[in-house]
Amino acid sequence: MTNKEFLEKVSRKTNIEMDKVKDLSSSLASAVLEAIAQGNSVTIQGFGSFEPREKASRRIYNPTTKTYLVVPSKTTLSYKMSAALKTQLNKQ
Amino acid sequence: MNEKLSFQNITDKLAQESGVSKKMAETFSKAFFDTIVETLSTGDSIKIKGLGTFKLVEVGDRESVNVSTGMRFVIPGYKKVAFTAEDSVVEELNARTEAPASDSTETPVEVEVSEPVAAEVPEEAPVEEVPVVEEEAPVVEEVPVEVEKEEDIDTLIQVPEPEQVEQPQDAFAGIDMLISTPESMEEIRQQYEEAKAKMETAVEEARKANAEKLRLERLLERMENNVEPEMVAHTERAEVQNTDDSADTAQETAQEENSNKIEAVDKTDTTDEEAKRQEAFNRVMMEQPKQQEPEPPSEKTSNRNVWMTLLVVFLVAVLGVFVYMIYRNIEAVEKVPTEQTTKPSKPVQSQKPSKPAQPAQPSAPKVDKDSVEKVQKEDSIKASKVDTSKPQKEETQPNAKKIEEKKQDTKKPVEVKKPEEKKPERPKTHRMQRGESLTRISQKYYGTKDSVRAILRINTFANPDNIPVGAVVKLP
Repeated sequence: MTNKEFLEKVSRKTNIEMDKVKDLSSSLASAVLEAIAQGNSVTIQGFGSFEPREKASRRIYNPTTKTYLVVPSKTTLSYKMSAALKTQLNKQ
Repeated sequence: MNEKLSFQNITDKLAQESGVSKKMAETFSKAFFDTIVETLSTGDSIKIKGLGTFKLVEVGDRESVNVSTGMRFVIPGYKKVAFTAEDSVVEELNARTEAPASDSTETPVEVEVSEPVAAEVPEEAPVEEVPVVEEEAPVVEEVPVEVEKEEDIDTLIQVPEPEQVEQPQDAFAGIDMLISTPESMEEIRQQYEEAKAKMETAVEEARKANAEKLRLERLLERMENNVEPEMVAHTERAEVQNTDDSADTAQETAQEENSNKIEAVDKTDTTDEEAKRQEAFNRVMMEQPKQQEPEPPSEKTSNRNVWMTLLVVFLVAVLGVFVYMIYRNIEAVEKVPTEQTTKPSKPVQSQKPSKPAQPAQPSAPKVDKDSVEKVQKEDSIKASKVDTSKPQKEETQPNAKKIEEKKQDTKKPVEVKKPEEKKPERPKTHRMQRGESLTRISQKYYGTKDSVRAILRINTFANPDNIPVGAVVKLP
């Protein structure tokens, strides 16, 4: 499902205009991201939790050029589904 | 930092940022996540702008082991939601985390923490000195305690050491005193020499007696068996006069005598042992009344053992010499009629008379000079044949060694030459045949597949993997 389809669905559900839903969606994502960027974790009940995860720097080998490259450490957004969601998904 | 924000916090924030009522923000957010769950539960993946992709992934059944019981059991498979953040999100995250870190949020904190501590130490000296002293004091106290313990241990260790060392020293000193006393030593030596003399005389007598008995027995047997009278006469002469060296008779008599001597030797063994037993008994009888020393008996037993071993070695050597003599004689008998076909036998025979004395000397120390002389006195025939046989034995051995060395010498260069000859034989070119590859050629000419590269370096192929049949390949 694409972002557009998803937003349409949300709009239908909430009876909010499509433009408004777009705004709200992007602002919601940015709100979550901002919280994550500050090092906080965001837990949404019944859905799961988002938290920043640090990936250590690692060395990779390019077999064609036979050179080693260093991938610098970085922070990514990780998501873990909640237990409730797991049970709901595996019910069927 | 590191707070756990809830749904409420996010909706509040959303309401703040977008200027929407909290209620609306909440309903929207709720619908937002519910739809995600709905779409996921249908098995579809969902892509949300500004976050990433949620995907439903099935995890298969897998086997595991209960650590406590060791039982295998299956963890049932399940569906889970996998999330991959958008690249833009990750970039933004890193940009945001790096920016504050470098701007002076984290590093200054560290500096502030570290610097004040260093600065406070001199300023608030009286306040901090007290704890420092308190901290140091117990450390200082502990150290001497440990040192004292170590010292105690050392003293404990040291105390027993001298005692242990002194005791053996005393014991040794006592032994030394006992040994160093001239009277006891002289007595022991006298006893030893007397016993030695007795033993020697006993051995000689026993041997003489046995030899005489054997001679008489042999003569009687021959007389009874009615052996050829001439032979008997010869043997008699050989035994009594020790001058008859004629080839045939000497060989025969030697063989006969050898067998007899072996018997004699065996019997002398028994007599020797008897003599030794008597000697040992005498020694024990002599020692017991005088002194009960720990070491002298051991010395005597060791001496006795030495004598025993020497005698055994001598007897074995004599036996070996006689056996060798018999072997030599048989060989000589066989070779003479065949007109000396083998070459290596010639030098051995020719060298016999030339170097009789030299090899006899090295052989003497191995055995016992005195005992050899005794035997020579007893049976001059034996002695004469021992003398002649020993050089034979010891000359042939070096000869054999020399021959072996020569063989080795001849073998070695041959072995070395072979590879040298092989190298020039290798052709410089090879005509490709059906089914041949460079690897096979390398294997054929160089023994390894590694030379393929060397071949490729010299040659230029359109396609090294498919060389046409009949193509000439240069070989490095």
